[in-house]
Amino acid sequence: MSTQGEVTQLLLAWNSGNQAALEQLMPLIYNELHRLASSCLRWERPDHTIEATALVNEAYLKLIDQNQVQWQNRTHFFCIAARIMRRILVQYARDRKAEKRGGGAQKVSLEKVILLAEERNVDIVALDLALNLLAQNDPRKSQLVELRFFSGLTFEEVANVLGISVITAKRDWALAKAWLHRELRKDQNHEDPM
Amino acid sequence: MKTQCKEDSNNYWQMLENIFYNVLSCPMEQRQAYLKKACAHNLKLYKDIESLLQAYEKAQGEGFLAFSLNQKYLG
Repeated sequence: MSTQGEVTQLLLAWNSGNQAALEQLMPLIYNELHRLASSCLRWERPDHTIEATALVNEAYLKLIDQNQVQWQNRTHFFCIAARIMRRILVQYARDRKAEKRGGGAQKVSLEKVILLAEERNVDIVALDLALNLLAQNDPRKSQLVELRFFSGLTFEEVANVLGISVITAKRDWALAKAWLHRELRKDQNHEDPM
Repeated sequence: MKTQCKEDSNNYWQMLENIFYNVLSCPMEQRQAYLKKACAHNLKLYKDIESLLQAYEKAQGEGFLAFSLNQKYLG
């Protein structure tokens, strides 16, 4: 079976309740995102920002047979992709910290995404750890932040994916933001006592 | 024992959530009074929610997580 056929079938299987399908889907999508990321990075013009979500969109078009899946499956794909994108970015941010900004010029776009986060005062690696902590207490809120922050899903889309009302999604978002802010600034104060 | 512990922490979180949302829906000048009343006899819960409310205000003020990585406004 072609990769597209395989991914489409797995997505449909996962959507009808087969959890094992998700395990098989993850590496296929991960590989495609990684491949797209490195090819985009290689050809990218310096003034041209590749956004994380543009990569996910492109992966979606390549991996999913549009005739077979409906809108809901599309949202579910973005749900998996948000998690994978988070992994790719966090890994990149970790490597970058380890190399102290080495890494060569071909990784310009992931660099731009990380810089964008830093400009907005978000440390991706610290956010990732805080999201893991939040997930122990309240997995739904952690996933909601993942979908909103890493994939840019609207409240309506997130509510649909998580099977909750839009009002609940907005409340979850408020508490999750407060909780994460408290957690992250605590770390910052710890590292940088001023 | 472990299950009991898990249940207790679920209850705690549930209480915290409800009070947190209720406080946010109160007008600013009534928040403190509401919080005190809702957390009567539970200082831990009171302090926990108070620090979350402070974090929430700071988060809103700083625009913390106000944009996704593809620069969509999240609010």
